[in-house]
Parts: sequence; C-alpha cells; structure tokens
Amino acid sequence: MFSKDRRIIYRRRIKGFWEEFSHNRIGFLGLVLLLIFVVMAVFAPWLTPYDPVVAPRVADGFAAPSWMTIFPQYSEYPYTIETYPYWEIETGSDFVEIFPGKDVELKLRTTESTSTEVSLTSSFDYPYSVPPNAFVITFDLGVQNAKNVWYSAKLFLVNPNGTALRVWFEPYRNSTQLNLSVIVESVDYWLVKSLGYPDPKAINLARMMFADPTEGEYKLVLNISFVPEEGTRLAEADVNIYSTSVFIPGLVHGILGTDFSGADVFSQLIYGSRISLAIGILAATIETFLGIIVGVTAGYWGGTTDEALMRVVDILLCLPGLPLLLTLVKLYGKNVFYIVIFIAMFGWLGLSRTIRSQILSIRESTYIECAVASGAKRSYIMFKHLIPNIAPIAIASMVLSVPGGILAEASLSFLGFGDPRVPTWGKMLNYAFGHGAFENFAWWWAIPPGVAITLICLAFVFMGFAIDEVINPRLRRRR
Amino acid sequence: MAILDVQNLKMYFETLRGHVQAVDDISFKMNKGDALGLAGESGCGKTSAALTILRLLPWNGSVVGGGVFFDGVNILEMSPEKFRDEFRWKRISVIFQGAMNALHPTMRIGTQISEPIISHEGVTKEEAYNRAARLLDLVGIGASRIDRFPHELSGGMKQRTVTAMALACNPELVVADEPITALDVIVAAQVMRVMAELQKKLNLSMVFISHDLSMLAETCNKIAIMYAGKIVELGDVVAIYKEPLHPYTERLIGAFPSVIGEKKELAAIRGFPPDLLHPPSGCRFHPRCPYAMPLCKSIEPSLIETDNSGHSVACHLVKA
Amino acid sequence: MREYIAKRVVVAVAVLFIVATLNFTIFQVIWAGDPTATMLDPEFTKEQKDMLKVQYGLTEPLHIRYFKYLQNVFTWNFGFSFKSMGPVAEELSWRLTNTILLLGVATIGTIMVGISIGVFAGSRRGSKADVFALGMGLFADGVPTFFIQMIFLLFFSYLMYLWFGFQLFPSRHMHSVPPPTDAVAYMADVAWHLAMPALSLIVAAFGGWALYVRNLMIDALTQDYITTARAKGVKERSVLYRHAFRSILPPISTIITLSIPGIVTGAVITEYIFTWPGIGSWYLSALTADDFPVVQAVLFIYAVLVIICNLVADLLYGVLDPRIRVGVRR
Repeated sequence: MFSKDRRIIYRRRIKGFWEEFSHNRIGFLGLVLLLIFVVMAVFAPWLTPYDPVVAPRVADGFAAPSWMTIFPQYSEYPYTIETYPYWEIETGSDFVEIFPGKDVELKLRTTESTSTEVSLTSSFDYPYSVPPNAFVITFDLGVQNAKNVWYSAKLFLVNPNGTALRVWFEPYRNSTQLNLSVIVESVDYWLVKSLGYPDPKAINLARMMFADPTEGEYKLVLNISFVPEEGTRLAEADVNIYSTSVFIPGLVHGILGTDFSGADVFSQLIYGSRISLAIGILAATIETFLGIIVGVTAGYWGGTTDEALMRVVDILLCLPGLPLLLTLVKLYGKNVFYIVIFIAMFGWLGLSRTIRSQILSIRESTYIECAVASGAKRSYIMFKHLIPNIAPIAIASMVLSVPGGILAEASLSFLGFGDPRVPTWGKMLNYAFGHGAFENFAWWWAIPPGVAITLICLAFVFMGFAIDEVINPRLRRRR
Repeated sequence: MAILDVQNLKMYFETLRGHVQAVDDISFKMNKGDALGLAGESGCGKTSAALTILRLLPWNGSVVGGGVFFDGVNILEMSPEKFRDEFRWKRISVIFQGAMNALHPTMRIGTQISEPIISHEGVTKEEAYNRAARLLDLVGIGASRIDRFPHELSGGMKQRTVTAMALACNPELVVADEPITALDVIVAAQVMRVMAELQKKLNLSMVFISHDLSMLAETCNKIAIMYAGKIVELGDVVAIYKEPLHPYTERLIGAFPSVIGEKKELAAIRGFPPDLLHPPSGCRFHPRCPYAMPLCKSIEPSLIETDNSGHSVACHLVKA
Repeated sequence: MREYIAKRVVVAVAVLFIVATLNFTIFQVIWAGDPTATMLDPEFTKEQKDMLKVQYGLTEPLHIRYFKYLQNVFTWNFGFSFKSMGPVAEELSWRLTNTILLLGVATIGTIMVGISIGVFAGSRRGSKADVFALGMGLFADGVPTFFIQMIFLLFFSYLMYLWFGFQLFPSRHMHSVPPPTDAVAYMADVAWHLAMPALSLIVAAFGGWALYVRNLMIDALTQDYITTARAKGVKERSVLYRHAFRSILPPISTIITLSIPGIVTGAVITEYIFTWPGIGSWYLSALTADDFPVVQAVLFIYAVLVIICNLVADLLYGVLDPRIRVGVRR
C-alpha cells in the first residue's frame, strides 16, 4: 500500500515523535497509567478469583479490606469462615446405627415402641474476639424408607460458654421419604420471631450468640428423635445428613472489602476496567471517524456543503447531551452497545470543527495547488494529501476524547441508566451512593471506583496533552 | 557630546546548543541629529543590536560586555524601573518591523498613541488625545481617524501610525527596525518621505535598520555595515558608497542593480552567512572573501579609522 | 454589527423550532406510535382524557397535531404531569428558578476563579502558579464531577458528623425543613444549602478554565504588540491586564459558549446527588417514572437555555471584538 520511501518517512517520523514523547514526563506517566489499566483488563480473571457478574457473597456486607487489620481497632476483626464440619456422635442409641463423618448416615431399626433420640455434634473454631454480624448454616437432610415411625429434628448452636440456641427444627413427620435443603440464616426475620423476640429487627442473633466469650470453640448439635407408631412391629428409617456447611461472613475481606451485599469489591474494580477501556476507545474511534468525514468534507468542499454541515453541527451542539442520552437509553433499552453508539453520536461535533479548520488552512498550501493544477481528482487529494496531514491532530483529538466517553458512560451508570448486566465503575458508585456506603462509612467501596475513573481519564488526558505539546511547537516548554 | 555612544557591546543568546554570538564587540557613536543606518544581511545582528540598546531582549539574551551610553548615562546598568520611567519612549522610542502586529488589535489607535503620553508626562486624557491627533496629522493620516482600530487601516497607514506613536513623547532617539520592508514600493516611498521630513523637522536622531542599501543611502548621513555580529565598516554615507573599503561592503553595493549606468552582471556574494554558534576564526568574512589572506584566517581585524572623516573599517587589507 | 446580531438571532430561533420538532418526533412519533401513551396518563378519567385529546389534537392527522404541539409549547403549555396531576408549567417555573440559582452561582464562581488563576499563571510561566494551573486543568479533565461531589458529601456531611458531631454543610435539599419564615433567614438558609453543591462544581471545573486562559495568555504575551507596549514603558501590570488580557476576551467568550451545554446538562447529576429541587432531578425522576410530559418539557427547556446562553455569548463576542463591532470603514 505504501511505497518503500513512504514507509521510511513514516517510520522516521514515528521514531522522532516517540523520542520527543518519551521525554515528556507527563505523557510518559499517562502511558504508564494506561498500561496498568490494560493489564488489569486483560488479566482480570487471573487477578481475582471472583466474577463480579455473579457477585457471590464472600463476606458480610460492608466488610472492610483485610489489610485494615494492621490497625489496632481492626486487628480482631473476623475473616470469613466457611467450614464443612465433621459430625460426631454425641449421644447414640441402641436402635440406630450411625456412620459419622462429613456426611452422616443413620439407620433406625427397632421393634420396640419406645421413642429414641440421637444427637450428633460438630464443632468449629471462632478465633476472633469481635463477633460476626450473621451466620449461615446449611445442610441437606434426606430420609428414606421411613416405615411406621414419626421423626423430627432440631439444630442447636452452642457457644463456648455452653449457651445453646435452637436455630432450626423440623416438626414430627412420618412420610416415607423426605428431602430437605435446610438453610439457617441468623438474620431471618421469622427465625428470630419464632424464638420469642417480638421485635426481630432489633435483634442480631449472631452478635447475641457470639458473645461472652466470643472467641472459642462453637458446637453444632443436631438432635434427631424417632417415635415408632403404636403397635408396630418394625420401625425403620434411613437418614442422611450431607453437605453441611457453616458460613460466617467475615467483617474483613480481600483487598478492597465488600459492598452492601457482601460481594467482593476488588473484583468489581478490576473487571470494570474492561468496560471503561472498551467503551472509551470504541466511542472515541467512532467519534474520530465521524469527525474526520464531516470535517474534511466541510473543509475541502467548502461552499454550501460547508455551510450546511456546519449549521447541522451548530444545531446538534445546542442539544442537551446528558438528558438526551438518558432519554435515548430509556427509549432503546439499557444495552451497552447502544450506549456506545449514543455517546459517539454526541461526541464527534467538536472534532469536526477542529479538523475542518485544519483543512481550511492546509487547503491554501502550495502543494495542494500544485496537485489541483496537475489535474488530481478531489478524492485523490483528500486521501493522499489532506488526510495524512491531519492524522497527527486527529490522533491527538482521539486520545483526548476517550475520557469524555468514559465519563459519559460513568455518568449514565451512576444515574442508574447503564447496562445492568455489565460491571462498571459508574454502577459501583451508583450502588454505593444508593445503598448506604456513606452511612456505613464504607470508603473502600465508594472511593476506589471514582479514583479508578479519574486515573484512567487522566491517563488519556496526560497522553493527549503530551502529544499536543509535541505536535504544537508553540506550547513546548523551555527545558 | 554624543547622544548615543555604544562601546564594545557584546550580547549572546543562550540556546540548548551553546551561545549564539549575535552581537560581538560593536562600537559606534552618534551625534544629535544624526541618521545612522545599520545595514547588513538577515541574521547579521543588526536587530539584535537594536534590541540590546533598547533593553527589549528575550529571556535568553544576555549582555556579556560593554556599555551603551545615552547622553553620557550607561542605560544598560540602571534598574529596569528607572529605565522604563525615564527613558522608554520619553527619550528613546522604537518603530518596529511589521507594524501590522505591533499595534494592539482591540485598542483604538488614539488610545494607543496617547497611552505613553499619559503615563510618562501625567497630562490629562484630553490633552494627550489632542497631541495624538496632531501627530496623526503630522504623519499624514489625519486626526479624523483617531478613533479607528488598526484593522481598519491599510499597511502603509499602519506603518505611519506606528511612526506617529513613536514620536508621542518627543523622544531624542528613534530606532526604526526595517520600517518599510513589509510595504510595497510606492507606499514605502511615501512612508520614507514622511520619516525623512520628520527627522529633519524635529532634529531627531534616528537609527535605521535595513538591508536595503538604497533606502539607507537616501535617508542616512552615517552608515554602519554589520556582518556576523560585527561592524565591518563605519562612516559617512557618501564616503562609503563612493569608496567602499571592506570587501563585504563592496560586494553588497555591487549586489544592487543600478537603474542608470551600464549593464553589469549582478555580483552575488558566494557562500552563506556564518553560523554564529561557531563563528569562523579570525575575520568572520574570510570564508567568503575573494581577497582573503592567511592572516585573515588567524587574526581578527579591529575597526580602525582610515582618515579623519570618521571612516573606519575592519580589514587587514586596508592600511590605516 | 447589526448584521451579526440579526444573523445570530435568526439562527437561534430556527434552532428552537428544530428542537421543538425533534421533541415532537421523539415522543409522539417514534416512541410508541400511539401518542396517547406519552401524552395522557392512563390514570386520568375519561373526561380528562377526552379534554386533553382535543387540546393536543391527538385524534387529528399528524400535521395538525404538530401545529397544535408547537402552539402549546410556545404558549408555555406543557401539559399535565402524570405523577402530580398538575400542570407541568407551574412546577417548571419554580424548579427552573432553583436550577438557575445553583448553576448561576457555580458558573460565575468557576469563571472568576479560573480566569484569575489562568491570567496569573500565564504571566509567570514555569512558576508554581503555572504548574498548579496546569495540574488543576488536567485534573478537571479527568476526575468525574460527581465523584468530587460524592467526596464532598462524604467529608463535609458524614465524616464531619462522625468526628465532630455536626455537619458543616447540609447534605440534602435546598432549605431546612421546615424552612425559616423570615425572608433574610430564609435566604441565608438557602445560601448555606447552596454552598456545597456550588463549591463542588467550582472545584471540579475551575481547572479547565485556568488552563485555557493560561494558554491564551501565553500566546498573547508572545505577540508583537506586547513587546511594543513594553517598549513604550507601560508598567508590567498594565501590560498584563490592559494589553494582554484584553486581547483574549473574545476567545474567552467563545469558551463560555462551548461550555454552557456541559454546565447545563451536568446539573442533572449534581441535583441528583444533593437532592436539589431543580429541573435536573425532576427530569431524572420523571424519566424513571415514565412521566412523559415532564420529560418533554424539561428537554425543551434545556435546549432553550443552551440556545439563549449561546446567543448571549455570541453577542458578547461581537461586542468585545472590535473587528466585528465596528466592521471596516475605509
């Protein structure tokens, strides 16, 4: 496409440009910042194990970053505890065969009509002196081949002091088969109510239980009772308890803590870089493309075309950007691709003006006159002469318009008009603002996304500024 | 006493690549009423010399030696404030090259002319305006145009406005830097006529900077020929034109075609003006001089008077 | 000059029409195809709907509808809000005042601070002031305004409350609840509530102005007429203000023109964060609640604001640049 001489000239120009640019401290800083974010975006899955779209609950809501534990008031804050405890036999029965372990099997075989009870116990350690805000105990209970017997179960949480709390019970049943997936949440309104507290909202079960002392060994006690039916000869049942887990969401977690729902903030931050970069660069590219087309056409064709195009630009400039953007999103849906297009639709206007004025000044150059005089077609002049000459300005403008796109998307997301499927920094700020990050003083959630947006925009601003200084000799600083 | 006595003035520009020896040890004297022409090619240092005298150097120019004595006082050594209040425009003024840009685009010319009058002489605005109006009459623009903006004037009118402005505070010395270079021939002749008349009428001392020897020949009574930051010949205008002593002067005069007289071949000076970062050794003209001797390469000739009429020349070929 | 003004006014009016048409197109033509969805609240009674149908001309062909629409808009009749059931124009008026109050104070503050710093920095190139102006300028281009506002809120309202037990500035609304009855006390109360939003806007934006003005000043100071002024013995301060600054006034009014749309539309977010009762927050809540008459009205008003400010800035430019003001008389 380019002749060998051209290639040499371009290579030399680029090399010369690079020499100037790399000496510009601000521009270099911008480039470094950009590279950091690119690395963040590309290596996101390796940088963090959590997927922000799924946003699993990794700790308690508003958990502080884990490195805060170096400060004295945070040193005893608990990390998330997730264990799969091992059941042991506390009280056995002659009529029940018990196979202990992580998964427990119970076999009831009795000919007597007396009721019998077994209890299993498992324990876990809570090594912190600060109590958690919640706990979640889950297990699956399966009953098979239950014949002629009524059975029920209860679960207790026992703290190191011996205080026991009945956190779950299943009333007597006699169905042949039963499959239960039990989830005990300490914040469950009905659970607290059923324990006799008239105002469940004022009670925090976890804090109540994990106190005096907080630190120590906690036990889970599972009581299962069997009552054989009257006048039966053989009562039997096979009971399975499996997938037991104790989840105590921690109050500290990860590099940047958690948001209101307990999802990891750091992963949201890392993945957010993908969207920002993608949207910013894509929008800027479209804008530059449009701006060049309109600017060159207006500048070179001149006359009525120029007038008409500039009038259109003037009118479009009068339209209120953000409000219209909001309306368009509402109209066409919160889809990230549409958002990019809408942003680009509003952003190319300034560029077309800049390019047009540049074209106007080049147009009068002698070498253009020569080309015209020697019979070159308009399109030839446009592509071979004009466009390569405006390339530096176009590139500088493109770099400088990326922050605009990123900020526009961030504003949309912040107001709640962004694509809800996509993790962006604006969305993080939206949630932080709306879900009480301030009231809970969760600065790790509210501040990093804003800082990230600032830094990524600054990266492009710095680079654009440096490119401008290199291209425009008047602004060069005297060294 | 001489109104302007420049003694061994040296001024260098500091650049990234070293010192540019723009004005290297120049000396000359002017008496009241003299019209001195400072002539030479582009880049020979004539504008730099003028800027040095006027203390209008850019940030990277510094005076490294010598002095400029105006009416006996070394104006280079006084504080900038003192120079600004007592000398600028009141006693020394400038007519800049390219008057198109020398005038402020959004101020009326009456305001611009009367501004220095008000600030230096403390007269009322009305009085200053009247004087400005009279000056505009003097240069031939007419007092009626006092409220015009510069963009409403033609090139020649702008140049004359700048001239009027330079005379606002009745200075003793006016430096005119290439006053007619940007004008076409007819307008240039008009402007020059005005300037020459004013000079005689007001008994002004003027320094004309130009590369146009023919213009200088008409208006000046003294000429200093500069080359590569040095004065190579200095003296009475008639003497220099009739009998140029320095080879450069000779070639310079020969380079201008004569309308009358026999047709001659245009004599160009071969070579290019020297790089003032690393000027040639010895006589700075020696690489281009047709009469160069080995001596010229090693020893720099000093400006020596050749006779009593004040005709000096810096050349080894000329015996004092 | 007269020609200049006339041309600008004509263009402004034309743009107004075009914006109104655009509004009409979006909401009555594109949206649902059925304008009743966007113009009439489904909750209105049948009588109300019928009356409105006549008023908007909804049952009539497109061109008559368009004409009726223009008629309504230019007589300040924007219909009835779905949410409040009241006339849009009424609420629009007092909300508009609030927005203009906030934006006016913020813009004037930004311009004053920005220009002062810019002039100072431009005259002392390389100094600390210059670096500061450069830094703030770059900063203003990068940091999102709403983030600064969040930090302001976090610090001045919540943190101060946490640490010192009181809020330096209130975090919501335009006045205390209940508002003071005394006129002076009321104004002071509003001013106190205005402080944080306005300050945050100024902090976010002054850098851009400072940088732009600084560049203009540097450019101006390299011009020949500045050297002339110095040669004339004009005092340095005068050179700076009377000569250099004066010559950059025309491009400054250009930058006002270019930044008005941004300021006006950015108010949406500011009003949202500080719950300032202006047209921005109204627009947002209306859009979320499908209150279309309000949405249309505010969009139109926004465009009108932008057009008016552009017109004023253009006229200002014409006044400030004598090449336009006086033209050329030979």
